[in-house]
Amino acid sequence: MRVLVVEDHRPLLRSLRQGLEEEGFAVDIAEDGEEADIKARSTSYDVIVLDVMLPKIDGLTLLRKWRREGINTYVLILTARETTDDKVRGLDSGADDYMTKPYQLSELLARLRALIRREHQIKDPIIRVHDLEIDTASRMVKRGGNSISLTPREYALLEFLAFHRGKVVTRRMIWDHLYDEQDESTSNVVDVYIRYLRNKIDKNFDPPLILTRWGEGYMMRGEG
Amino acid sequence: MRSIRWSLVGYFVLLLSLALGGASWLVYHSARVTLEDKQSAVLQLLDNRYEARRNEERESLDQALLQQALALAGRVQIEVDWSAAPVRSFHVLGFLTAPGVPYGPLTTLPWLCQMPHRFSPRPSPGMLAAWEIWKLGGVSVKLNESELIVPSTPLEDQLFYQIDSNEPFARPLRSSSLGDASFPVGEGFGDDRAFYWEPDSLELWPGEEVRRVRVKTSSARRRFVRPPRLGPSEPRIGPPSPSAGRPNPEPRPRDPLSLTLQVATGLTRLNERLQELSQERDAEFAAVREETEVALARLRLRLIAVAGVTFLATFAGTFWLVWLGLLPLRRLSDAVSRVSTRDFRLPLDSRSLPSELNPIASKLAGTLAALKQAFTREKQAIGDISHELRTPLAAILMTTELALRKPRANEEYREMLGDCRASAQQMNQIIERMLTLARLDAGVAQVRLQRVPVAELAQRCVSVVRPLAEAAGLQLQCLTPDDEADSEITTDPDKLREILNNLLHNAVQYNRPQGQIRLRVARIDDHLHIDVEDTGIGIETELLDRIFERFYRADPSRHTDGLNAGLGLAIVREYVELLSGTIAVNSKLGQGTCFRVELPVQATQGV
Repeated sequence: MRVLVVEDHRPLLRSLRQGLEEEGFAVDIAEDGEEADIKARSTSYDVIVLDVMLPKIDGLTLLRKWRREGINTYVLILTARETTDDKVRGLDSGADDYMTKPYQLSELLARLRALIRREHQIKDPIIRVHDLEIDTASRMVKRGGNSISLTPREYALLEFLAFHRGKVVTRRMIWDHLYDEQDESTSNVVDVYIRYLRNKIDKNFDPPLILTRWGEGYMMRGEG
Repeated sequence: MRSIRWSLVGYFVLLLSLALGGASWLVYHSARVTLEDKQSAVLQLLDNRYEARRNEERESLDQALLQQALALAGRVQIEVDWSAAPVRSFHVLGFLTAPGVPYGPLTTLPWLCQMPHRFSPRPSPGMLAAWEIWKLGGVSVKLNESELIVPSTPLEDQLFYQIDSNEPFARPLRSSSLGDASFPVGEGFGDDRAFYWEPDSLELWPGEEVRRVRVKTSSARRRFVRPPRLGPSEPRIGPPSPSAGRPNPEPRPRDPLSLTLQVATGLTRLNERLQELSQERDAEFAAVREETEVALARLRLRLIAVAGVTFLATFAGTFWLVWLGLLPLRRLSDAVSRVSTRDFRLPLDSRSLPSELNPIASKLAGTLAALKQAFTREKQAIGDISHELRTPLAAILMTTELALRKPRANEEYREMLGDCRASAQQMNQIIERMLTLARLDAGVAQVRLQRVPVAELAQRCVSVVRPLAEAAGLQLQCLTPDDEADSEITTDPDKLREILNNLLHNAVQYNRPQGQIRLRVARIDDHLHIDVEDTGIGIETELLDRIFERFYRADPSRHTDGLNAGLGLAIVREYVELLSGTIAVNSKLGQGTCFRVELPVQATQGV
C-alpha cells in the first residue's frame, strides 16, 4: 500500500517513514504543502497522512482544495491540535480520520489498515480466498491451515491482489501501490515477486489462486 | 448588601413623609387659624347681638315702666282735702280739758282756727292761716285705683310705684305693694327740666332687686275738696274740676306742680328673660364652637385621607419609577450574567439603553471584545504551545518506539538517538522562550546594565546568523558608525543580543530567495537606532500591530522548528521595553520589512 506522509518536522517524518516502511507500506514524503499537493495529484495513494501546520499551504486548506477538485484519497490528519473544535474542523474539511500527537505507531498502523479496508469495502480484517486466509491485522497468511511466511514485500503484493480479487491488476498498478518514489527497481521486479509468491502460495495447493492474464496483468481468483 | 431600589424608595418615602407632613401641617394650621378667626368673629357678633337684646329687653321694660308711669301721671291728681284734717267740733269742755291730756294743747290750735270759721261765714286772715295748716294734713296725691292699668306683658311682676309731688306738705302716693318701704327721692332729680326720666336698678329691700323708672313730669290735675261745711262731706274723685281741668296745666305759673313718679317692678321676669337670652347665647356659642371643631375634624380627616392616598399613590409610583429606572440596569446585569467564557458577546443592544448607561455598556462591550480576543488568543496560544511541544514529543516517542520494535544496527540506533536529541533540544528552546516571557510577565527579569559597544555586538550577531543567511542565498550587510565610541551605550548586552538575534532570524526566515538583510546601527542625539531591514514578503498594514502578540504569526503555515512559534517578536518587544527603548515596524507587502529599535544611550531600568 502506498502512503504519502506530509509532515514538516524532520525527525518525526523520518521515524514515521521508517515505521511505515517496516510494516510493508510504500512511503512517499512531503515536507510542505506545495510538495504534498504536487505528489497527491500525480500519484494515486492509498492513504495520505497529513499534518495540519505546514509551511506554504496549511493542511486543512490543502485538504479542502483536494476534496473540491475531486481527489478522494483517504486522508488521515495527524496533528498536535486536540480540541474537539479542531477535530470537527479537520473531519469537516474532508478528512477520513484524525489522530493527535503524540501517538503510538501501532495505533497509526491500525487506523491506516482500517482506512485501506474501507477503501476496498472490506469489513473483515481476515481476507479469505478459497482456502487462503490473509490476516491483515497480524499479517499472517495461511493456506489450508498451514502458515506461510512471507517477506513484507511478498505480503504487500499478496494483500494487494487479495484486495482486488476477481479483478485484473496491471503491473503498473502493482508498481504504483507497492513501490515508493525512491524505489529504482524496474517493472519486471513485479514478475519476480509474483513468481516468489506463487512458489509459496500456489505450489503445493490447488487450485492456483494467482492467475496470469496475458497482455493485461495478474488476477487473484475470485470467490468460490 | 444594600439594594439601590430599597435605598431610593426609603429615601423617597422619608422625603415624601416630610413633605406631606409639612404641607398637611401648614394647611391644617392656616385653616385652623382662619376658622378660629371666623369663630371668634361670629362669637363677637353673637355676643353683640346678645348685648343688644339684653339692652332691648331692659329698654322695653324701662319703656313699659315709663308708659306705666306716664299713664299713672295722667291719672294722678293732687287732692287738697280740707276735711282730711281731723276736725273736732269746738266744745268748750274739750277746749278746757285739752291742756290736761297729752298733746292736748296741740288740738287747741285748729280749734282756734275754726272759731272764726264757725262764727263767720267769710274767710278771715286767721282763717287763711288755718287753711295752710290744714293743707299740711290734707294735701295728698290721689289715684283712682280702678283706672290703674292692668300690668301688661313686660310687667308681669309685681309693680311698685310711688308718686311724689312738689306740692308742699303733699303726701306721696305709694302703692300698697310697697308696704312700709319707700323709694328714696334723689335730690335734684330732673331739677331744671319739666320732663325727665331715668331708669335704674336698686335694691328695694334686702332680697328684692327691682327695676325702677323715675319720671319727672308736670301734673295734669289738681283737685280741691272744698273746706268742709260743717257736716260730713263726701270725698270725690271725679272729672277734673273746672278750675284744675284746663288743658295742660300751669295753673300757677309761680310754682308749677311737678310729679316725680317712681315705678318699679321685680326683676324676676327680666332675669328669666336675660337668663334665657344668655342660655340662647351659650347654645349658639357652643354650636359655633362645635361647628368649628367639626370643620377642623373634617379637615383633619380629609388631610389624613388625602395625605394617605397621596402617600400610597406616590409610594406605588415611586416603586414603579424606581423599577422602571433600574430596568436598564437589570437588563445590563442580566446581559452581563449571560456572558460566559463560551460567549463573550454582550447580548444587549446598547442603543436600547438610556444614555447614562451607554458608556458603561459600550465600555463593557469593548472590554468583553478585548477579553474575547485575549481569550481566543490564549486558547490559540495553548493550542500553539501544545503543538509546538507535542510535535517534537511525538517525534521522540515515535523514534524510541520504532527503535524498540526490533534489534537494529548500532548506526541506526545512533541516528535515532540523534533525532531524539534534536527534538528534545527544540522542546527545550520553546520552553526557554516561554519561561523568558513568564519571567517578564512576573516582573522578575533582571537587567544587568553595563557599557556595551553595540557595533561590536551587532557584528558578532551578524556573524552568527551569516551561515544561515548564506544557506538561504541571502546577502547580509552590517553598517556601524565609523567611530566605535559612538555606538557605546549603557544597556544589558544579553537582552540586546537576544533582540538582534530574533530580528535577524526573522529577517532570514521571511526573506525571499536572493534577498538582502541590512543591519544598521546609528547614533542620533542621545538615542541609538538599530534598524534591521529585509527584502522579504512584508506584512500587511492591518497586521503590523499584532505581530508583537504572543503566538501571533502573520503566516500561519510555516516550519515548526521552534524558532517561529510566534514568541520571538513578543520577547523582542518585552526586552526593548525593559531597556527603556521603543520598537517600531515599517513594512511594505512584497518589498520588505524594517524593524527599528531605539535605545537610550544611558538606559534606566525600564518597566
